[in-house]
Amino acid sequence: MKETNEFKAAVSEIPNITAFAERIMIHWHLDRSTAYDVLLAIDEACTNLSTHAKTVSGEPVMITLKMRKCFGFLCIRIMDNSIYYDIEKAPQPDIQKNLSGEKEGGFGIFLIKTLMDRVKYKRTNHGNLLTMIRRVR
Amino acid sequence: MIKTKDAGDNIVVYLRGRLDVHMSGEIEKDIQKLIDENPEKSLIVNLSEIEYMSSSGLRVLVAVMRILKTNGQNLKLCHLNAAVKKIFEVVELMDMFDIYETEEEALRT
Repeated sequence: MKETNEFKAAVSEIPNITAFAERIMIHWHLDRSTAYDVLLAIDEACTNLSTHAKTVSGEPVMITLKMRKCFGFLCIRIMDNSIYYDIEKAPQPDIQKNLSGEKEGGFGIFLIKTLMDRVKYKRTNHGNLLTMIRRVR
Repeated sequence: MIKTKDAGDNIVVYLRGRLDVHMSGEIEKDIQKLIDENPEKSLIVNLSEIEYMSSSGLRVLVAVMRILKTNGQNLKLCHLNAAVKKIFEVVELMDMFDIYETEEEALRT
């Protein structure tokens, strides 16, 4: 089964990205709760790219999603060609500011960090590489 | 997009399917219109048919709660499935919302 796919970073592509990831996890017989957490982490990472990421040249941001399962771990790699953005440096979501309307959102990266066992960011020659690791049964 | 039911001082909003970034903008607009047309009513959002929700959905619910509170009205949520409940728990929003097991309970309280 194909475990790598490329998508345009666009809001309209999010359902296709999560559907692709879901098909792989069904194929791997992952339990429902783990699969949901992984799906959510992928969704949040790709949503951030679709709504915020830009390239220097103005060409479309492309996302490559790669999923691998081995030795009881699920490894999700999300590569993109956008301008540097280090997810690890994102601030904590501020609930009070969200409730007062001063700030909206900011929950996505927090969810990724909480739901995954390990999150790593690396700048590459081609853009950004986000690696998310989740222990699986 | 959204199904609603008039219930006295409340309007029950039934959301279904995926509450992700792709759908949340549309849903937010529909709810905003509903609030504008019924400024004297509180909302009960029934999430029983939500199969998936990301932080984009959460953002919409926070925004709806804020608007309703500004109008002096309330937002109640009911029928959260385990996955949706987990998101609220992870971002520590459970205490910020009025959450009920069933629609009947939300209407009674």
